[in-house]
Amino acid sequence: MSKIGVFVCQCGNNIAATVDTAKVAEEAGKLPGVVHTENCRFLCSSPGQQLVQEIIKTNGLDKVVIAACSPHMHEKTFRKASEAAGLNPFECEIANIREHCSWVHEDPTKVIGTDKSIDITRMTVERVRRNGPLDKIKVPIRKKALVIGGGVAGIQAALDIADGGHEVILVEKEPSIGGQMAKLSETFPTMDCSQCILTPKMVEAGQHPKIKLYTYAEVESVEGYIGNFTVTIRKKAKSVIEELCTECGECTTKCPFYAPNEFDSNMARRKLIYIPFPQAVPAIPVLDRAHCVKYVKDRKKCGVCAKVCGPNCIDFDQEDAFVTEQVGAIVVATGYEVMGVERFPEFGGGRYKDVITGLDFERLASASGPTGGEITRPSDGKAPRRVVFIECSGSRDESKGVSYCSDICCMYTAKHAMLYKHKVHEGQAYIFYMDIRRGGKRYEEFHRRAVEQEGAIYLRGRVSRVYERGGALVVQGADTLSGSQVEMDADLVVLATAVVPRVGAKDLAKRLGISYDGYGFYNEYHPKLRPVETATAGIYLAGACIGPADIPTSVAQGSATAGKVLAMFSADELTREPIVAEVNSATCNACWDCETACPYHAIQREAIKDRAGNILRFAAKVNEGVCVGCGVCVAACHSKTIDLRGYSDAQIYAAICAV
Amino acid sequence: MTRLTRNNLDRWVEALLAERIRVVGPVMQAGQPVYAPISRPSALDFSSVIPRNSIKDFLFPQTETVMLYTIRKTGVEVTDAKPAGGEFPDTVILGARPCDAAGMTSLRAVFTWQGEEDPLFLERLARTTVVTLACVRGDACCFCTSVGLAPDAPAGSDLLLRETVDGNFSVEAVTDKGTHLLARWAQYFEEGAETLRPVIPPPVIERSNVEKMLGWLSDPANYSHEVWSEHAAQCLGCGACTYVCPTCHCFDLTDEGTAYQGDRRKNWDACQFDHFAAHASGHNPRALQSQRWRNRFMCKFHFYPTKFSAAGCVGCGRCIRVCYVGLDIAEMMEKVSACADRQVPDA
Amino acid sequence: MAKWEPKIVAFVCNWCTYAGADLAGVTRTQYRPNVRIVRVPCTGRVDAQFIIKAFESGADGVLVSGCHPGDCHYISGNLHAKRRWIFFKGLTDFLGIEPERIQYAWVSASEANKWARMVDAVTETVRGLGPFTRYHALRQAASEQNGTTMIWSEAWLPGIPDGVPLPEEAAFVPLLREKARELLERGEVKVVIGYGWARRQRRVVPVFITKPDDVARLVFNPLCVNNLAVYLPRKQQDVAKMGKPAIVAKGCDIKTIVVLLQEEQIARDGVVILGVSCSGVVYRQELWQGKLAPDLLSPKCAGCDVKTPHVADCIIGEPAPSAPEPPGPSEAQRQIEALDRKSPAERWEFWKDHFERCIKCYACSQVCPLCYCDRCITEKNNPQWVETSAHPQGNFSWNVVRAIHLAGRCTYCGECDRACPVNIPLNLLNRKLGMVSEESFGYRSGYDEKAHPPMVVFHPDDKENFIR
Repeated sequence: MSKIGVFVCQCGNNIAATVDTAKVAEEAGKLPGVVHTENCRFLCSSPGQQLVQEIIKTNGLDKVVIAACSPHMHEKTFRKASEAAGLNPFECEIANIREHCSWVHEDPTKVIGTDKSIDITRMTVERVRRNGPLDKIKVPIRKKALVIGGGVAGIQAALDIADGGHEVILVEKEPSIGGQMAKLSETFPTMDCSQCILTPKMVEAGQHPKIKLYTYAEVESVEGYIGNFTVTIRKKAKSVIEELCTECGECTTKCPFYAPNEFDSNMARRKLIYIPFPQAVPAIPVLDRAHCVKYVKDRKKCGVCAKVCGPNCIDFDQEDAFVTEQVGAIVVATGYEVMGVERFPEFGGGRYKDVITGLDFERLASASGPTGGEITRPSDGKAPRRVVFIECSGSRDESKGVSYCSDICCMYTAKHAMLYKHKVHEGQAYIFYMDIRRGGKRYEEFHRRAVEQEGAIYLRGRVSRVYERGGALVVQGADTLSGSQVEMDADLVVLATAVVPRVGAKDLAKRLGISYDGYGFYNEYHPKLRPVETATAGIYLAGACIGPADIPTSVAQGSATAGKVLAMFSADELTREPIVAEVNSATCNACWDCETACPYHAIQREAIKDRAGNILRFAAKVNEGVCVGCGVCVAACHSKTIDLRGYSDAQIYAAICAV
Repeated sequence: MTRLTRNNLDRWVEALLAERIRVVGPVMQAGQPVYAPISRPSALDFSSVIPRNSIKDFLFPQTETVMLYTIRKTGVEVTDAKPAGGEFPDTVILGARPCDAAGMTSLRAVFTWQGEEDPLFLERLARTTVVTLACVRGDACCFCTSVGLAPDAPAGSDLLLRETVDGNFSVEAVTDKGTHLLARWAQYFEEGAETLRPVIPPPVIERSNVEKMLGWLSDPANYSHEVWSEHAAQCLGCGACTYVCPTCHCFDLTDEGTAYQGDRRKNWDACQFDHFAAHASGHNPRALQSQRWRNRFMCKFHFYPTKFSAAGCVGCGRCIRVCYVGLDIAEMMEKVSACADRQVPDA
Repeated sequence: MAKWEPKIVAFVCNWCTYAGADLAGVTRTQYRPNVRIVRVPCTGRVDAQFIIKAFESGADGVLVSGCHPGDCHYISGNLHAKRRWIFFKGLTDFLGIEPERIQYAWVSASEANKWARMVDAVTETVRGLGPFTRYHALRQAASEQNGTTMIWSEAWLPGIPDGVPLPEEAAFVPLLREKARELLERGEVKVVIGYGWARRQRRVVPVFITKPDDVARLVFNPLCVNNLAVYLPRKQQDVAKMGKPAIVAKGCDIKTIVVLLQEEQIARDGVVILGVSCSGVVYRQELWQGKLAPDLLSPKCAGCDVKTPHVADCIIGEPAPSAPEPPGPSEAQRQIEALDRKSPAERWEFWKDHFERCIKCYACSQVCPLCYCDRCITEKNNPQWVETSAHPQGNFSWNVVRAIHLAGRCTYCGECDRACPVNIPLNLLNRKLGMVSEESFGYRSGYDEKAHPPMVVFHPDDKENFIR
């Protein structure tokens, strides 16, 4: 039989004014198993807590009920005090007779408050009778991080974690890190050259002793849980033995064949063995097997690259390799794409060569781009006298499936107008817009420059269509401020197409076990208070994979995730609350309702074996490193095989029966 | 012979009811014959072969309170349960079939075994008089004649009635209790001669032999014979057979109540239920349905005679009628008897 | 004698509603003192059993409250809860519990006022309804009860009466036997579970053919009403020990097999499904008089759209006419609609009469292929959520659990109804919850192997109109 102590607090007048605490203590004393009661003025005070501890020790109590304020207030306080007196903290329960009773039933005769307090205390006594000791769960941590995505957000996260003293694996699916930022010409609002500010970070990441770079690689599978992830990475075959390559570039120079360069939006060519751009990190070339004659036609053909390779590191038979890494945390920084022009047949996208996206325009403007930085028309190479920019192409448009604003287009379109003017002095930029959004630091001032200094003409209205007339493009739209239809010639049309999640984002999310929204952007744990965490413990998010974001935001988020990871790595073990589910594997029917219902994917399948190691059947098993103790699985289980420690069926049943 | 006319029977019943004696007899409910307490004699219907339930319901009810408890600071207070009104009702079961009456003898053997007396059962039995109505015919499921009983076997009866061709009944006192009953209600009974209705006893199951079965079942080597699993695959363990059987008596004790008081109840249990034999450790020695079916059969034809010196099966056939998947104990008797034969040398 | 005060038990989630109630305290918002709170981490933790136990413990009303959808501290626990409540409310309304006695709400940590006003409103509503005497009376009856009188349901004879001609076997029976023989001879299966004539009685029973020469025992005719899928789950260890089975299955039985596949009780390659075309079966074999008359048809045959099986390894027999009968409510649906039109008090009386007769034989559970739990909730006694005694309170609790555990899963094979010795119309409860599943979630059980049972998934759009 338990020895329960009940301590009733007067809380000065807060409780005592409307509850006869002596009577509550007296009634509690009549309950079976209650061997001691106290009626105190301020239990949470130092003397109050000392009194509780003394009584626990002298009376040999094994369970304690504190009838006082809300557990949200002082459950921790009293549990700590009980622990100091030798009890397990979970053998102390709080009966809330203040917030839920004395404060809300201010009956001066004290009848109502006392009766209800007696009931609440009794229910708590019956519950605590079924409390058992629970110990915090310790989860070991592997102090190594995985960053998926080598764009600026991923690079920043990797650098910060590595500078914090821990190893990082950075996986990037393109041949080089750099992401979309590497494609940009200049960046708003400072007009820094994108490559100039990015390249030092790329080089640092490539050379950092604590960062291991896997490029032209993808995450194949992820298993495990926070502190203990097992990640399998597929290193796609570059046809180059990386350890031997000296990045001399001979093979790329001597290769006789070309293919369209994806990095330049296919507006220029590259060799078949190539690096995507001059500042690539690593500068290890990749052989494009989709076009190379050796693979497409005949294995005996060509082979020039191998012939000129000094270190002899070309391997035409190289296969994809799989690497397994054990990591403790994962940062997802997989970035974004932009909607392609072919989604805009009304603007001639895909039909007219001179209708391009904003990212394509970046390549034209970029000094290392297909035109060496000259703004020229893709169709004939001539400089355009008039460029029409169409903002909100796809964004804020239900018919294109995108309801949101893409955040960056107003700024980069203004930037494009300025770049264009800098490079084509007699050119004129027209910009069709719906609203101009420039909320960031120095963004407003930047934008005004485009209008006032660079003479960009802004037309508030939408474009209905772009068509060809007499060999020229015609843009038909509206100018709502003047209330007129507008029809104008254009030499080049640039669509600020919507920022969308990358193709394959959902598949990666499924592999990681993180959730995404209807568009495919990844879900944060809480949009305001936990913006870089996911609901899956140990997996963090940075950059545009969360939603459209500019460079400062992406970099800040990259550092933020590093902060989270470094905090986790600062201890040797993760300590988790022991309020977790547990399975009685003897009665599990393996129906997997719990597995389906669990919002955290914390249920695993365990093989039940006989002594010889033969699998007899499967049963559910709770991963205590991931379970957060919501109890959804318990209510889902038909056979009451799974129970929740700390809020067990027995505890709740006892409280209900004592009502 | 002593006889009871149909008219007098009705008047006798009215008199019994007027004395607040509970009268239980076969009635029709929703087209089905059942034993139930009656409030007027016209409810009685003796036309069915056998009612769906057995009379054990009135001596050993499906659920009853054994004791009441209150948990106090000083300890647990326990009081024996008393029936409503303070005492079990005086009861006359009028129209029990002989197989049912014989079943009560078996139950009494269980509830007095080795001097351990179940007061609830014995109290009820003491206050119950069993007036049996002998059968004139059986149906395809009856087999009392294969287990040593007969359409007019007197075992377990206090009075035994037999139908006459005129629609009346001959009356035989079997026990002292029966004699007392006749004496007390003498005004309804008279002397007179009548012709009894002819009786067609159920055919004996040809290849079944209770003694041979007992011998075979007593041999531990046959415990794991394949006949058990061959026969039992379709059993679903629903327990219907147990609940209708006059001699099945297993029960479960359970406490029900709120935090500080409640009652301890005695509820019917069935060895056919999955977890009937499960241990607290989780081990279940009869985890397979075939093992549970074997237990049922052995209990009827071996444990009962060996342990309680009483018949475990009275051949009423209810289990056959009610089985949802067509298991037939008579078929099993044939099979087991055949096994016993095969083991006899020179058979 | 103190004046009666409504007793309301509230199950509130720790993060939102409990904190909202705390805030009411901090702001000294006054409200009625009739609520007793039981704290849970999340409304997703709340089980139907909690609510029933609260009533059994003397509550007059129950309140369940948690975070607003989208705000759940545990992401989606409250969305799971919402789905459960939609089912449970469908059931409790149908059983005749006044809807106002069980209130569901979303109260956030900042909605102190909402909490206080809601407690007031619920208290006064329940006060208007009066004490929940009729539920508490179930307990009274329990303590006074000493023995029940049983009423047994129809059909007393176990077989077709002598003299009545046996039904003709389906034309495809020789093909069925050939197929069975082939499977056994080739060792592809070790046992064929099918229908056959009983040896001593004139009735069709389940048979287990393990030897090729015994296939002649297999039959198919309108008496083949049993749902043989009950032999497939792991629980039936004697059958499992025989080895890989083939099963003769009508379309309705296959619907049950689909649910077993969804719940991974059998693997698709662990059973060979011999689907048979079926034009209807009787409800009671013993009532057979020579031909399949409409009034003998099992209720499950009404509106059948799987006369030709929809999932099978092979289909035996010519496809039966696939167009179902003209649309219109089936008998079960008519009865449900008639009950829905009654008042809660009338519905309560209807179900109370039926549940009083329950003898806790659990035949309904044993014959149900989807009641495959090795240790049933009724067999757990620490704590004992479902009282095992056959008194009105224990019967009510059991039948509620059974219905809610089958919600959205039952395929209406009607075996529970047929097996119940005391004729409780269990099929109406199952079908009612099936209607809730279809109307509220657009989900019909038994057609899609890849689907999840509706009780363990949710859609953010799950519609309801009763949560405060």
